Amino acid sequence: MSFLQALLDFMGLGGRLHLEWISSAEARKFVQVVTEFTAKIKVLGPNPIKGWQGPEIPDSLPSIFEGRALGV
Amino acid sequence: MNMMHEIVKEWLEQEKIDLFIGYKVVDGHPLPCFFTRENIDDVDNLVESKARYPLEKIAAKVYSTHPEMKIGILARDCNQRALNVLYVWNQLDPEKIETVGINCCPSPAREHADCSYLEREPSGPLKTLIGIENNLKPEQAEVYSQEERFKRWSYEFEKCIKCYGCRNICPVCFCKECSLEHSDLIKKGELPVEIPIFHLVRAVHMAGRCIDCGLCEDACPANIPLRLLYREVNQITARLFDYRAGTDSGQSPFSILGENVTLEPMSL
Repeated sequence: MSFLQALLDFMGLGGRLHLEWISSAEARKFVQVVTEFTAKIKVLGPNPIKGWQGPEIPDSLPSIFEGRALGV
Repeated sequence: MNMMHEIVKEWLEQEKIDLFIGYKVVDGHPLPCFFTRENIDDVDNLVESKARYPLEKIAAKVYSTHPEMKIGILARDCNQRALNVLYVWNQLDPEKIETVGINCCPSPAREHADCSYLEREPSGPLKTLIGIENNLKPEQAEVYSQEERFKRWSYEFEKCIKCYGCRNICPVCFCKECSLEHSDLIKKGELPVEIPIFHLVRAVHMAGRCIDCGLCEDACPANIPLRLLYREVNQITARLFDYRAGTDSGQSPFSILGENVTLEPMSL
């Protein structure tokens, strides 16, 4: 889990993954964890994967582009 | 006749090895080639080659069908690290492998070398503006905000044409069934690629295995900074598990099999 969290953080999806072991007897803990994580996610905003519309290529290319291959 | 030819011939003649995997120039291009006792004069055509192929992956393939065969391999540092990983994962038997060490890639650790992996060309302006520069160190790719990171990595991943070149060239990719061909996860042959699942699945599978040879990035037709991504994977693995694939002996922390696997039912 720590590994996956670190990897997601590296590519810009940090803080959106959480794992917690909760027993069926720990109702309070369940409420607390879900409430906290929900609050955290609300601050982060909608998942960027869902809203991603492809790369934003600038309309007017800066002058550095003149006479040069774009390069990918 | 050079030293390398002498050694390989001697090994073949003394039956120290049955097969040597090296390079031979075919139509002007160095290609991986098998050298055998039956065709021993061909050893004179053996070259070191600046081009790199995962020779140890070929050896593992041979081992899977001919486990009794003793194999010699031309090995740079990266080949050696990959061999260590393949030993750890039981894909090769170290008893059956002999290596001839040769000079290696230029890197911060080793300046004088003659292999193909030189520092990549600096990125063009568009990539610099909205993508990820291949030559960055993992720390340098973390200067961007979370939002910026996601946009930049998505730009890189979106270029993927699902050629599976990164997986096919990878010396430590040996699974019989690949998650990247699992229909519940990935739609084969359909573009655009699943962002970011496709590349993250591969990245996760590289943990505890990737030996930073850079062949994946060499092979990538879309110039995706895969080596950078897997270097970060390696750093996380080192930080969390204190494990460095290819140099540390012992089972990978990501192995679910443990040291002694048997198919015997456990006593209750």
